[in-house]
Amino acid sequence: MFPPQCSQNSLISSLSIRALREKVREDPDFLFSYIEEIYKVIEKHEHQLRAYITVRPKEEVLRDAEALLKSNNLGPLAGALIAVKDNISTSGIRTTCASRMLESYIPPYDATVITRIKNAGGIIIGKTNMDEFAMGSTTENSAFYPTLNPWDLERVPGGSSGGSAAAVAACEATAALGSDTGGSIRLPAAYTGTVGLKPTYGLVSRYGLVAYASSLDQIGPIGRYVEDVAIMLEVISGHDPKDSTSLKVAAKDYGSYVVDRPIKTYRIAVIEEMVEEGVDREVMAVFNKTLERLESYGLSVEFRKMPIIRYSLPVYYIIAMAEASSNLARYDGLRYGLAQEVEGRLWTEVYKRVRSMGFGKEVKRRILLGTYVLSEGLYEGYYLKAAKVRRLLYEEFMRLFKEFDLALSPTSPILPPRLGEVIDDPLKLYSLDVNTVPINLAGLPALSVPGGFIRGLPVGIQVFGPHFSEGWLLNVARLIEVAGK
Amino acid sequence: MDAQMDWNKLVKHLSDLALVDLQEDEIEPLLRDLEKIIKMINAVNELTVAEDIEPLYTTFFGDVNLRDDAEVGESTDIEKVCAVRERIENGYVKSPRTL
Repeated sequence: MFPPQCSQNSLISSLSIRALREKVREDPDFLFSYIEEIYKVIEKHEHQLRAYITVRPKEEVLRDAEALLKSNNLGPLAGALIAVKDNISTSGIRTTCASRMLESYIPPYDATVITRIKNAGGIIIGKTNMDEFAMGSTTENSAFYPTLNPWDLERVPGGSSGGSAAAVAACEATAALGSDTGGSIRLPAAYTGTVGLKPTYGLVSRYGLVAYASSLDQIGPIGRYVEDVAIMLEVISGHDPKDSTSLKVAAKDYGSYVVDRPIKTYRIAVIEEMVEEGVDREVMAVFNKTLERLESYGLSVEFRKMPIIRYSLPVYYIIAMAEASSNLARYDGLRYGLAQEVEGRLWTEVYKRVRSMGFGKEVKRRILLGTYVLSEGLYEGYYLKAAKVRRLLYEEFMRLFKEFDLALSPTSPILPPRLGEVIDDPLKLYSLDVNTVPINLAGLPALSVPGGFIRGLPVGIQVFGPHFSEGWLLNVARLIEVAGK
Repeated sequence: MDAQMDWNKLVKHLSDLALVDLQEDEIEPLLRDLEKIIKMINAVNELTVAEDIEPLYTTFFGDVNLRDDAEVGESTDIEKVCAVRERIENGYVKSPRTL
C-alpha cells in the first residue's frame, strides 16, 4: 500500500530495487524514463511534503545515469535513486544537518556508505530533511521547515530521519539512508509505512556521519520493501578501517533471508513493559494481530517481564545528551560552523555568539543538559549511574536472547502525532522513543516494518534480536510484510 | 520563588560552561523544559546499583582499529579541502585572530 503521491504511474515510481535493476539490465534506456518519472513525482509533491533539503538537478542525475550505463557497473543497486539524510557527508553536495550552523557546508569527501552505494550502481538523488543534528522525533526541529507525513499532511513523518522516510514512502526516491541514535530510522519508518533498519552497532561504518552520540549512532537503510532494505544493508555493511568502531565482519547475503517462510522455528519474546502503559489501544490491536499471524507459521510467542527497561528513557537521554554536549563542542565558528568577523574579539565571546546564532532550541537544550549531567558533583549521580544501568540493561537483553531468538514490540506507542502536537512538551516528544531507545543502549539490531493501518495511518512493528541477527529480523519482517498484503 | 531563582542561576551557569549564549526570550521556556527533563532523568536515582557494576560506555567489543603511524595511501585532495573554507592562504587555513 502506498500513499497518494505514489499513485500516478505507481508501477514505475514504486519499483523495488531488484525490479529496477532487472529492467535496467534488460533495457538500459529504461533508467532515463525512471529518473524522469521520479522527478515528476518530486515536482508535483515536494513543495508540500518538503522531504528534501537539497534535490540534485535532474540534468546532473541524468548525467550520472549515463556514466553508470557506460561503465556497465550494473551492480546490486543499478540505477537506484538513493535519498541521503543530511548528516551523511556527500562530496560536493551540501550537508547541513538541518542546522543554520552548517547551512553552507559542502563536504570534500564521501562517507564510506556513500562510496559503497556509488560502487554498487546507486545514484544519490538528494539530501533529506531531519531534526537538527538528528535531535528529535518528528522532523519539526529542522532549522529550515518541517517535513509532512505523506499519509496525512497534517501529521509528522517521525524523526529524526523523517525526510528520508517521507521521500521513500512518497516515491520521491527508490530507497534512502537514515541514521538511528535512539529510534531515528525506525520511528519515521513506522509513521510513513516504510521499512527501516538500525544495524548492530559497528556493522555499518560511521565514517562521514556527523556525530551526535557516538556510542549509539548507526547508519541504516529505509525502503518500501523488506527486500530493498536487505539489499541496501548488504551494500553498506562490512568492515571499514576508517571507522575505529567498525567491526571486522564481512557483509552477509541478507537478501537470502527474505523468503516467505520462516527459515527457523523462532522463539519470540514480547517484553511486557513495552506493551503496557501508554500504548494506544488501536496500535495494540494491530500488534496482537501480527503476533497471531506469526503464531500461525508455527512460531512461539511468550511474554516476559523486564522491569529495568522502564529506566531506558532517562538512561538514554542522560547518555545521549552528555555525548552530544561533547561532540558539538567543535562548532566554535573557527574550525567548524558559522563563520563571522572575529578579528580582535575575545575567543569565548565569538564561540558563544556563533553557537547562539547557529543552534536551534532543541540542540541548545541538549547541550545544556549534557553539560549539566557531566558537571562536577553531578557526574556520578547521572552519567556514571546511567552507564551502570546501561550495563544492567545490556545484561538483561543478553539473558533474554539466550532463551529467545527475537523479540517484538510496537515501534511507537501511538499513531503519528499531528504537527505541533508534541513539539512543545519535551516529555511527550521523548516518550515517542520509549520502545526504540533500549535497543541502541544495548547496540542491538532492530527494524520497523508496517504491520497494518488504522484510519489510513500506518502502524509499525519493531522486530529486534541479538547482535548480528539482521538476517532473522529480515526474515520475520518479510513474513509480516506478506501477511499485510 | 527561591526555586525559580535557583533555576535561573543554573541556566546561567550551564550557558557559561557550555559556551552557548541564550537570548532573553529563550530563557523562560528553557527553564520550564529543564525542570521537566531533570525530573524525568532523576528516575535513575530510584535504582540502587551495586558499587562493583562496571559502567558500560560502548557496545563495541571488537578490536579497535588502530593502524601504524605511516602513510596509508591516497589522501583527500588538498584543493578540494581548501575549497570548503573561505580563509585560505598559500594552501593553509588561516585562523582569525582572537583574544
